[in-house]
Amino acid sequence: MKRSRSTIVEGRGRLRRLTRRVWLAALTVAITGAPAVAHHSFAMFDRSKTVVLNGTVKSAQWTNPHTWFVIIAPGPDGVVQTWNIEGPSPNILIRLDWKPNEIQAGDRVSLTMNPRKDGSSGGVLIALRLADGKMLNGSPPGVGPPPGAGPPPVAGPPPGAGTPPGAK
Amino acid sequence: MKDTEKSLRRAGAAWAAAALGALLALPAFAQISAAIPDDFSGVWTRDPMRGNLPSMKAMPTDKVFTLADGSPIPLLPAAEKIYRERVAQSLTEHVFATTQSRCLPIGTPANMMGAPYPVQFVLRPEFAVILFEEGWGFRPIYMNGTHPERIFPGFFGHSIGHWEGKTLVLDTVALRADTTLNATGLPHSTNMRVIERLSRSDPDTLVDQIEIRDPETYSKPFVFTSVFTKTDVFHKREEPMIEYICEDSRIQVTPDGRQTYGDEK
Repeated sequence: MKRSRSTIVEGRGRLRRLTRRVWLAALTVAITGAPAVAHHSFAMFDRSKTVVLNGTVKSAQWTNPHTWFVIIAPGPDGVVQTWNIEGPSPNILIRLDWKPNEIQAGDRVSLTMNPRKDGSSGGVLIALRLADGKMLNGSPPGVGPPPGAGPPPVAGPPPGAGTPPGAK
Repeated sequence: MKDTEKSLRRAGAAWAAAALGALLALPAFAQISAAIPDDFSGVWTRDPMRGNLPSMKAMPTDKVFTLADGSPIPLLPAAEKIYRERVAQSLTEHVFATTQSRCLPIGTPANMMGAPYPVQFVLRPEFAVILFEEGWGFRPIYMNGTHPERIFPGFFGHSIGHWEGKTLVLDTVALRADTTLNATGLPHSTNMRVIERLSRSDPDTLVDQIEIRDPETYSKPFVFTSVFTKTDVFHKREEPMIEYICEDSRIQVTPDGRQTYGDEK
């Protein structure tokens, strides 16, 4: 049976939407920690608490099975610390439109995360806002904060530009 | 000038020979298409929401002992004890340390399910291969072959395949017992045999019906399914595979499920 051009185009659009849904479902499962498979348990993170870190990138590791973003920033108590934030795999982030060269050491960023339960200065990534305002989600729609509820734009001098109170 | 003519003539003869060769080879091409009744070669995503083995979400409930349709998983008593211990461990702060959590391959048939990374099928008449983005691994499938007599259990096992109509049937043996069927830790023995029936329910959906035959672990064979969707996600073409080597660079998971951080100070 011969299909008209428009039918074929519509069919492709439908397929793309369908496959995008499948990807998002897969990513949701990967990130919410309720997966069929996961590299490790996410029980170590307090998913009920959200912390925003405004600080400077020390390093970004694009390694599987998880990315790592090391940020120097004051925590909720105002003490500047080195934060080790675990993100999804680089393969997932690239499919969420992240570009490794957009995040360099020294960049000022605003990072939203769920902290570790044990109180050590680490957490699991929710979203990252770059200095130019570009918002990168570490989780697909439906996971993490609603759109617009991400970290506020980076403001004020970066940590280390003065001597913040209680700096270690 | 004469030399040029000569070389042109030679080139012409070469083309004619090539054309003749191609004509002679035509029956071989016809054979190839007949030997692959449904060529679903290409990149597919696995859809973890549509499989029917218990997932981590089933954890605190008895759903870990049933398939999605409620039918019980026919665990023998000794296997059920092992499985209960694994589920109990996963409900603590520790994890049940699957091979995958230690950066080792997840194993067949779990590699056909669940993870948000694509899989590429390459089908040929005499040989097929399934390429996995996750762990950058592959499953060779020897079409119409036999299992070797001497083989040791591995993560991917030894697979042979044949076509039944438009269904590709895979038969896999030699699988090590420290891998599990799923993340909640369904066990199996090294004598497990996995029969998979791969067929398309529509052009963009590939269904893998996975039958477990393991009389040491399960009282009778049982079947679960995994569903794949053809990729065409961000482009009007196939999703490219992206290299994935598990480095386990920071968090180390020990065989008893403890996790250690390697934080940068």
